Amino acid sequence: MSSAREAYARLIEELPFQYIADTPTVKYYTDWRLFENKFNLPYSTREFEAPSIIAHIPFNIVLGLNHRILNIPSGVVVNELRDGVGPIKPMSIVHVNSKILAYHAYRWNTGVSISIEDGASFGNLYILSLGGDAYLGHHIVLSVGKGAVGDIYIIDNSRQNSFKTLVLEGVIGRDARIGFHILTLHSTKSAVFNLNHIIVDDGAEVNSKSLVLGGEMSRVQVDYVVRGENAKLKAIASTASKAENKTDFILNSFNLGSKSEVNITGRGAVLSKGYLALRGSAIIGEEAKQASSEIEFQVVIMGDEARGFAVPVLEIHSGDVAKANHAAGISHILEEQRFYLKSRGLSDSDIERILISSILAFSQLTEDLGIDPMSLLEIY
Amino acid sequence: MGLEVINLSVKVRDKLVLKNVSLTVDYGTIHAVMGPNGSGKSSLAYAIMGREGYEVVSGDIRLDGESILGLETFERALKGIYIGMQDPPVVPGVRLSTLIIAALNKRSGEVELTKIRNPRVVRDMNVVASGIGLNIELLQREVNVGFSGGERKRSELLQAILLEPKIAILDEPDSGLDIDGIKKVAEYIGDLRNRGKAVMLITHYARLLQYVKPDVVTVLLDGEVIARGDSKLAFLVEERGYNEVRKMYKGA
Repeated sequence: MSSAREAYARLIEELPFQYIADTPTVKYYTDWRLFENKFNLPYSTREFEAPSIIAHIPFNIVLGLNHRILNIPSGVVVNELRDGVGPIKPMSIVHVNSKILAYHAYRWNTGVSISIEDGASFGNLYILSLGGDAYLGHHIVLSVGKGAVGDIYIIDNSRQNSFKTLVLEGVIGRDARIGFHILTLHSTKSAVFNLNHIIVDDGAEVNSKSLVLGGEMSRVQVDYVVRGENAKLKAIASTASKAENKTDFILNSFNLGSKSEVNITGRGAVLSKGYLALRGSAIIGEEAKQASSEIEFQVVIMGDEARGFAVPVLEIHSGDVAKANHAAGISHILEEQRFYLKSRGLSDSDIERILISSILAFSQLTEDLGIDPMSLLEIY
Repeated sequence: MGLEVINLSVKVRDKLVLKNVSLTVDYGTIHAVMGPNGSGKSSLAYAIMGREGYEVVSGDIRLDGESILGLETFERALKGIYIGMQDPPVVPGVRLSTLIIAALNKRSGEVELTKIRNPRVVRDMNVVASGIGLNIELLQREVNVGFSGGERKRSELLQAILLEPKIAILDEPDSGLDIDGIKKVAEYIGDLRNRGKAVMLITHYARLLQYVKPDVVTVLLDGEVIARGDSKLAFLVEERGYNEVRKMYKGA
């Protein structure tokens, strides 16, 4: 363990799980106790293979007990990530401001550094992060060169009673056109902390599709720092939570560049006794003149004991904004919606299946990856 | 044969909203149901579809001679009754194309409702949507989310055409449309009749009926049938008003 890592051990003790400490008015959407209970787990001694539903995906990088670098597309350079080595050092973009991040920084067991060359048209890059029988931590740093074009898919999976942290920090270079997509599939016994922190430079465009499913407690957070002038982000997210699942899915954006544009849309379904929070903050910074930001979440509750939250927050610090909207909806299926769908010939059970499958397919990620959304729900 | 409503009385909560209403919608005809707001037109449509809360107190509703009162809404739909709603709700998460594909798959007995079995379905959706002036991009949007009033009406008509019902109940399909839109919608409603469908056309203005001539017109007021006649009745209503027509027909 390097001395850099050792410094984080102290922070694990000192930092809270969230900056805002317990108060009667602040809600914790993540059940941190489940993470804390697993803090003492040893490193996994075995990793679990990808489930058959995603086995057809031609993964280029696999992270498990260690890392495997397979067929890498032209224009992409992948290296083992080591402390203090490489153009972007681990935890240099993400600020260690919480107990869970300090834990990850101290313990992650394997990672890669991905550099995409300027102007590279690399097609698709598939990264698989596997779970193990105890703790695994994976770290990725990503540097996308100017004008690069392609899609990056990160599939985060765990199948057992386990604990996993996965952190990605990256920069999307000027004028790049990047798809940045996240599929997280976890068993009902896993606790998962997944943080993606992406900086988007001048003129770059990021399209993001994400789907989060399963986990005893899955906290998945994606932060987009749209710092470039005329930079654009469009993010579409789907998530569902069923009995024994708790999901806290957070999509944050920070417009820092002038004329930068952000559009985030999320749909969630919560079934039986599931718990789901779909939330995020869209923040327009003081210097982001003529920036626009829209954030909208809808959660459909399909169970008497299900709990769902849709919490989009808009925070504007600039006096010169082109557009800013936020909207949220949490609803049970209304009688008029049920009648409408029944009048098309669909029974109650058809309606539930279609609503769930549509919400899962909403981000279009299942279509991209050739996965049947309903099969996913049966497994996770 | 077609749809028969026989001496139908319906209450919603404790209020009687339809009183002893009878009418027939034969195949290959358009039966216009007119009436002011609150006259019971939409209640009649909902009662025919078996909407929850619309309790049939007496009378019967028959499709091809068989009572459908014991059937659930989705079973009535699968028997061939379609309702194009006056103010269809939003269904967040479900794309319009997904709903249409699921409804078609259900009718053909497919188990996996959202899978496209026949690529022709997509082509047909695009062709018909373009034909009725509905931007085909809306097919990929969530049902009625962000749709204008006119787009919702066109979406309802699109489904009426694609689902090939025996009986199409269209509740004010012209509201929110400009004159070109009304003409286009009228053309497609006429086409439903020409293809042998029974069309129950609910409206409170005769505006649409200038472009699609109904075979029968029934006028409802306060939940009762006050007049019945041919297409001329629609224009009489427009000219004289509902109360005057009630007096004229009561005295007739």
